[in-house]
Amino acid sequence: MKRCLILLLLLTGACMPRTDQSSVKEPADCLIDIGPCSKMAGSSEILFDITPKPVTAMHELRFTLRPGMDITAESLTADLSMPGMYMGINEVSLQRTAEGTYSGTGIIPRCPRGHKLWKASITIPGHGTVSYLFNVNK
Amino acid sequence: MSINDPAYLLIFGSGLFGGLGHCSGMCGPLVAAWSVNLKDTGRSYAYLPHLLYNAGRLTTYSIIGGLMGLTGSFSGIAGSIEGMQNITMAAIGIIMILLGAANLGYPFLKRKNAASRAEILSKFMDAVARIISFISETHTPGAFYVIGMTTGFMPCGLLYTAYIAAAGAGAAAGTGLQGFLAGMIMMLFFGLGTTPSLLLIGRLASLRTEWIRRRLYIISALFMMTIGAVQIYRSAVN
Repeated sequence: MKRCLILLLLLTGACMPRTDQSSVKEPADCLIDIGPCSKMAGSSEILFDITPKPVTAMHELRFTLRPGMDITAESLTADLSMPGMYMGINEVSLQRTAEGTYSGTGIIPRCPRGHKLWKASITIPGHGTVSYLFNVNK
Repeated sequence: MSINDPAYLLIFGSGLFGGLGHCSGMCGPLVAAWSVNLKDTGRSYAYLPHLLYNAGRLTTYSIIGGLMGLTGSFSGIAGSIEGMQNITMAAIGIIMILLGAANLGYPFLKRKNAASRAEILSKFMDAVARIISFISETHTPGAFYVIGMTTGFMPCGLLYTAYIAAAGAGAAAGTGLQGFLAGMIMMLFFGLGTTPSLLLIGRLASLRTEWIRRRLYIISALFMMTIGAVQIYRSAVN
């Protein structure tokens, strides 16, 4: 009976990830294909953008952060993740430019199951972490 | 990039963690499906098919990782293997459906003897039957290595992220050869990280398969066919 249960667990439980993206209620809070996305950190606006548009998986993309406050850090890191599904460690290094923006290139992988929702989280020293939820085209 | 580089440990950890949270859900059913079909080879060789399967997977990962490292480009290599990945996924799906059908005793997929073959099987069906027979009845360890190598081509989001890291490691290396080695070792570490969970799933599924086969024969065959159909669907929509 125990073995029967083990097999049934493998056949049913293993078929579905514990937190499938369909069960994640967070909707995209950012229409990245339209233009930059805005989030507030205190009273400062932080703009985040990805180019070229439409933002497509499996292609090299440029990630840009335009903070509305003075930041001294030479670089920031954008942590890319998929809500509800572990997709590995995918970090994009954003280097400070002469204009005070932060920019770097990276790739968003395609999910073979067709999920499109991604999250970019950027920690800004002294101002906390800002996150942007957006959909990516196949 | 030295072998002591923390990036190798990081990607191993990513594979280990991803193996539990991602691979067990995505590839686990596939591994469980072929493992259920394993013949009982005795305790001393119990892990051999699973080890060979994982070695095959690691071989494919390492070769593709090496190529990504050599070129320093993820999208270049990923773009060129994307079509092949979908074909592989569809082919695995078809094989699983046929395997499930053979387990259910579908007569056209059973190789009986020369006389019955001549009666009911066309040349095409005979070829299919040989493939099914090779996969389901073989005791050749090399077959599991080949199955592992083939499934290593399957598209997977977690794998893509690891390939991005391999391409990055290659791009940062000084020469082409160093880039190839950096990419290859990155993917080897990633694959090793994913191995424990898939090894465990495979071993649990093949545990006393004769006992399971007697009781859950039809369920496991239908399960295999369902997973096969899902693979074909995914390959079509990708």
